[in-house]
Amino acid sequence: MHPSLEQIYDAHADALYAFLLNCCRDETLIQDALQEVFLKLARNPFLLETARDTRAFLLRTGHNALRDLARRNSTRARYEQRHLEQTPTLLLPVFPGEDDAFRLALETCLQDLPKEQRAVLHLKLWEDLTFAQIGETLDISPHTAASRYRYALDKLRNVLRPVYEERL
Amino acid sequence: MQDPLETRLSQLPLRPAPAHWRRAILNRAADMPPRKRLSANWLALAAAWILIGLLQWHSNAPGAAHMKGLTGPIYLPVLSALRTQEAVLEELLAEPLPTPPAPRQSRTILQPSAATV
Repeated sequence: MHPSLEQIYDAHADALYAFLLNCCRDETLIQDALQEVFLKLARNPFLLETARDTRAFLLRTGHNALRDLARRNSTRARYEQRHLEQTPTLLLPVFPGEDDAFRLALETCLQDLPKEQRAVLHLKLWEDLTFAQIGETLDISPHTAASRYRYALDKLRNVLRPVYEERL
Repeated sequence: MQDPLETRLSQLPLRPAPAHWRRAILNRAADMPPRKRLSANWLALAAAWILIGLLQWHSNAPGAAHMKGLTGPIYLPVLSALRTQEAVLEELLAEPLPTPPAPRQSRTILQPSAATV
């Protein structure tokens, strides 16, 4: 029995959204990409049968949809403008109303990372994928995924050290 | 993960998808008709090929010379390979032998040139 679209949405939409938000801070584009993923699943209900890991498959499909939509954008300038206007934060405060210096510093640092490193970091930290799975998702080799992760983590460590060490 | 930084990062809660997206995305997806695995066009094409194969097979059977015109121009290597040697020999013998071409006759009588005289 195939899971219904509602079940798939409830199980994976939040993770997909967070990943796509970390790749591109444009909510309009992210919603369109998420819509593309679910239209694809509705058109072909057997698509998930071929996937070894549903979550990894959906992340890959969403990433590809986002990339295609960004390419299709009529003018890059318009896209950049919208990008600046709508910048939702990726991380939520642990306690509502809390002024978390660590979280804010991390948010800024994540945005400064190259998008390739950010994508790998997200899949490793928050999706707990292996480097092989990350490589499959992003069409890169596991070695490339591992080195991008190390670079990204080193940068985060350097930037966050003052805030991070205070809290250890 | 052994690294405390990695552990700390992975524990941070991430923003969930906006709640109102769910209905919009799922409604649009529900309107999309599912693509059938076997379309009518593919089934028709498969049926046509099966019919051609059967005709070819039947026309190669002994005593079915009257059927040869049906699938004559269609060449199916697999079915040709399955023919018996007798059937191939029979076909070869039934073909008329090629007649040798008639010797060419020149209509103009060549005049010996001055140089050769």
